[in-house]
Amino acid sequence: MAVQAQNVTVNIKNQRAESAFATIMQQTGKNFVYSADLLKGLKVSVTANNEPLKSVLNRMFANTPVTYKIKGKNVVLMARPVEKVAETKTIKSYSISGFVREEGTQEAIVGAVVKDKYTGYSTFTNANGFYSLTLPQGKAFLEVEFSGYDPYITGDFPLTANKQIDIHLTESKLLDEVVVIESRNRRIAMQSADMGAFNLSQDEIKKTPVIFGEPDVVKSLQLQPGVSAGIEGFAGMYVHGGNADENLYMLDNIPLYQVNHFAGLFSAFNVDALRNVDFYKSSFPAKYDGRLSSFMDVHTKDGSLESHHGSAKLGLTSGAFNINGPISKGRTSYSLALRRSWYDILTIPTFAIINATVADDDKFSLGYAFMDINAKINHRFNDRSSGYVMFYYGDDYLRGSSEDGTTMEYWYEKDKTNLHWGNVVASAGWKYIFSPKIYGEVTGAFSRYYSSMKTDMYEEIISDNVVTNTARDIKQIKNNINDVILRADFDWRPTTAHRVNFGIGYTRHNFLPSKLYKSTQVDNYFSEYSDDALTYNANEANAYIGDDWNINAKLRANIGLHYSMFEIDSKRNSGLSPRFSLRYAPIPTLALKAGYSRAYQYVHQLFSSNISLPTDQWVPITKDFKPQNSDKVSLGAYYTLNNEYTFSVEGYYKWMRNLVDYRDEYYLYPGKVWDSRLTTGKGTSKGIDFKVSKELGAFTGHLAYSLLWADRTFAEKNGGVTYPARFDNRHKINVVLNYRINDKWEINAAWTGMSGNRFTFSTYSWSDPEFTFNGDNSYYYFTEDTNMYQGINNYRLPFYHRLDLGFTRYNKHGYWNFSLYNAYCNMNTIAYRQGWNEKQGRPIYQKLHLLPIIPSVSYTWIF
Amino acid sequence: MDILKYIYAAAMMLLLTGCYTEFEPEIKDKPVLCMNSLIDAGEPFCVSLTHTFLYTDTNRADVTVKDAVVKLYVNGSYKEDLQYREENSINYYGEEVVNRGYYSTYEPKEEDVIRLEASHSTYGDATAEVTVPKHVDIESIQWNAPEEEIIDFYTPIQGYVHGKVFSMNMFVNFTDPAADTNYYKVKWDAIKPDSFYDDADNEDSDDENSDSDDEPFINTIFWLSGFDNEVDPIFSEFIDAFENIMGSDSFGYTLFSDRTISGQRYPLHLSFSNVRYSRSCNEDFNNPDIYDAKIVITLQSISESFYKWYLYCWTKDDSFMGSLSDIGLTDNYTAYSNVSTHAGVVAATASYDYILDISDFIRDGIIK
Repeated sequence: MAVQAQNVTVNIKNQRAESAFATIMQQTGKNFVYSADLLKGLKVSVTANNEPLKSVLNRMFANTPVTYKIKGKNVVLMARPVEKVAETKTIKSYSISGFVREEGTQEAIVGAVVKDKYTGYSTFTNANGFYSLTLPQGKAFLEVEFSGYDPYITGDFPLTANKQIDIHLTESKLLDEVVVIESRNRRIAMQSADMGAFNLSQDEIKKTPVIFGEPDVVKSLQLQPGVSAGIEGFAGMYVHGGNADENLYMLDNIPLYQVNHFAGLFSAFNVDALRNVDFYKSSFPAKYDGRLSSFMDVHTKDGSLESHHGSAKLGLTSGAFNINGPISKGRTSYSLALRRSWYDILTIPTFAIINATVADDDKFSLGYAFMDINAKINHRFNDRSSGYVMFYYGDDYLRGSSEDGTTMEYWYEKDKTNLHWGNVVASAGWKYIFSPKIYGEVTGAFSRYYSSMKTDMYEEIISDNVVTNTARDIKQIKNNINDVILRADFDWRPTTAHRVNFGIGYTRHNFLPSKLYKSTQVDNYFSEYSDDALTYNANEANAYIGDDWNINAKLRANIGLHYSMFEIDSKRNSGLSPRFSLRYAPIPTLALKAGYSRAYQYVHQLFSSNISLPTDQWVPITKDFKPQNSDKVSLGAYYTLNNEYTFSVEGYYKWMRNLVDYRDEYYLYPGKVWDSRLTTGKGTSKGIDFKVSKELGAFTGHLAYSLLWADRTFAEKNGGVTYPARFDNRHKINVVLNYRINDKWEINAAWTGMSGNRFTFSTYSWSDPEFTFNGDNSYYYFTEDTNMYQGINNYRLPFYHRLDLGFTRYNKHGYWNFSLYNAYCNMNTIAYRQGWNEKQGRPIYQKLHLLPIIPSVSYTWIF
Repeated sequence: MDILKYIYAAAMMLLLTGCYTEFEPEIKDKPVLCMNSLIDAGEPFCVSLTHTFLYTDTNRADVTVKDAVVKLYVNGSYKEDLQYREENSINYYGEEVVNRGYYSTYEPKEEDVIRLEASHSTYGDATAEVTVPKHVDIESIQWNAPEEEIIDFYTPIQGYVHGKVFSMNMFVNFTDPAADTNYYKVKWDAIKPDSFYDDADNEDSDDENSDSDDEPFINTIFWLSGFDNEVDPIFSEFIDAFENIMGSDSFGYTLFSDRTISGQRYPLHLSFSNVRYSRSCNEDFNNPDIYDAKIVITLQSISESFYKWYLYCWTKDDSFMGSLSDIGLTDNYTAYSNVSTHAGVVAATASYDYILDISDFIRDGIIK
């Protein structure tokens, strides 16, 4: 073995300490021994020309929190002892506050940990990137970290007054396995008191392989334990045995009603416009109420204040374009994201060919499209004050038309139909640092949900090429909700141990559950009819306060209260929702948690089928109904292994009351009295969610397993007997794997396996009573047998399983995405029905299978 | 044309790229008793007792259950055991059929609470209860014929043909009792001369009693057709706005509830676009006595179970949601039943007949 030199030649300037170690190890043969935490974010500078090792190390670690000892062949690094500040009876405290943003774009970084090295006090940034730490007078040293970004340290600085320090993190160029820092979700699991909370970034959503390669936030969440997808391929979300309308989807603090495109195949959130998503399914922070099962808070991008960036994506089914940048450098930014499907354009030539091959007198066309627009302008008035205006427009339409009789001399008919539905949101907000400890945001918004179906039927009678008679019949139905929203949310950090959120809100709802318009024109005769559908005005107000209290290093509590009031039909309903969650960490790698949440829900959606249709009306509770509410208790344990893997197990029990559903024979009542079709009941769900995840490094992913029981009991359904909920998916397994092979290639895989959905299916029949034979003038009669009622959700569909794969190839200007939905082409069963074997002429039971393997490709150009 | 339902279903199927495969589900239940009966106030009634069967069982034998015990309770008191027998009768289509069932001797009265309890050693028990509704009088009927055309011609085959083709509006006035929820069904029939009301057909009635050419003969055609369900919105009250725009209509369904007219006098509007009355004979009669034209309008008070059964039929066969069910995009539409086994319907009616004599209108313009 060669004798190693004890003098060192090195020239390092503001580089990671590890870089210097490599040089020194090579020259001296000494090993550096240290814990990964110690060097987080540490950058050093040292120049030496054949100088003794000790001298070089002294200079290298001067003014850093690191010191060393040379023991034999090892250089052992350790934390430099903290200089104790002499305790006095009147130690003053000062607050350090500011924003953590991304270097360059200036986008807020949510959930970044800001920690003072000397006191160990830490906090994390809120949804706007704001943080505040109150520390004793003396000196401070902030360490800031967030996964995917280089850690940041401020170095020592005297703390003799309140300070505002805005911090900019640089996106890491190194693979995360080298820079071992804590991921956001591990921090939520291990440090916060929240249960069932999860955070998704735009990148993580894009990594999830999905149908048609269309990144989808809801489908990413479907892969989490306790979240069921509902029907194959659709963006439904059924959390812990709840219903689809029990999830609150918020876009920059504003609730959305229509959250799907294309009958639910895609969610309404354009991922290009998103910054990150917070999701809560067990213990709910005090801020959220209005739904029973979960809360999804989507935060959109503000736009870069430094330079223009964007991307354009071309896929098989849709295209997207987004751009953001400064309007006034450093002060005003914009962000614009557009997405539109191609289906209608693709169908134009298809129908042109079909229509060219059929007789002239028979034309047919069908077009579907969805689009959404996210636009935002953000302006910084000064260091403490900023404001924004945001606009969202999500729209779907399905149009069809047919023509008959164009070659016939005597008759011509043209029918048109148009289904049109969506959401418009316009909002403006003002954010202000009232003091180093109080940050506030005031939001005003108008939100409109609309759903309209229209048919227009026109007929002509032609004689000798002259139109002698015309007739036109128009029908239109509407379901609208207009909301005017005002809210104020505050983040107050009175001491480092307390983080208090409080706020108030008011919403003026205007509901039009169902309105029918008809007009008939026959030659010169015209009549019209508009039903006297009721519009409902409702006032909804709420106030909340919650304290995230870091009692000590082991104990943390999140205690809150949410009050809501909903006034409609001259009836006032109100609800007080206590929230509580507790974390106890006996050792740093283990956290035990317990939580309780109550929630109230005042609006609900009536579903008419198993898929999302514009006919699924959003309606408020009226005076005959009480608000839906739920109580949920949760227990959980979380463990982290080698700073690499996080294990969690969460159990819960949920009681749901005043649930609203159609009666068994919901067709019994006149359409105008829509709520007379409804009945109320209760439900319970219980289960356990297991998950092991790895979120950092080239290889990431998670394995999740859910065990669930969910049921419903309605006095006027199923004879009053408790029955299983439709999405009572007893077992659910999700495996998600992402592997970044190198700078050019990435592979993503997601496998889902779960017990099938419940389904109401009739195997027996009975003889028709044939009442119509009893002297009747009706035009119909029955000779068929009749399906027997055998209980609601009496069958379980077969075990569901599917593998989705995604391959991403990066290049200089963007990336290609190749995806395979249902890669091994297991066409899952989504329904049973009574069918007929045409060849053999006999009745049979049938399964309806959906969605075979679906490959897709897209290219995204980044600029 | 209600193309929307087809467009929608087509879009769904295109979208879903689905396919159907046959399978054999686990059969969880056993056959049970099915009990059907329609009880008319003032008449003995028959209970049809069968057992349920698998939808795929094409080789099933007669499902009639002949050896059950069927007990009748009226207003809570035991009345009698119904006796099984088989009777031949002529059905709606003029076919001879065998009616199998358990017959009562008791003639239910209006407002009777009828309870039927059936038990069988193999298929278990079944019970059902129905209240016989109270009939509601038709107080008056106003009518007019906005369009009319005289028929007056001769052919060697038909002979002399005299009559009218006309459109007709009727306003059937009745007062709904305020106390309860009431359900109704309206029927009509044309009573031909030399005939009598036999409750066989009230839509397209024609009777051509053709005698030999040598004998004097009189044939009659009298029908009411072209009934417009949409003229009175009460016939479409059960169709919600969504189904309405999907093109679903109430064609053929003439039942309604009192939800929008409770306790009120209501002029029920019946409109027919094509009413034909003609007498043909081999002599040119100008005798006014032979032009006897009467229409019977029947207002049936029907039990809730009857109403619900009809609406189930409509939902399954004529609604858009029924179409979605057929292709598997909603749960199976299972039938309404008021029998404890969920199989069968026990319903009751009470009727009021109003005879509308339009003979003078027919004669006017025909008699020379």
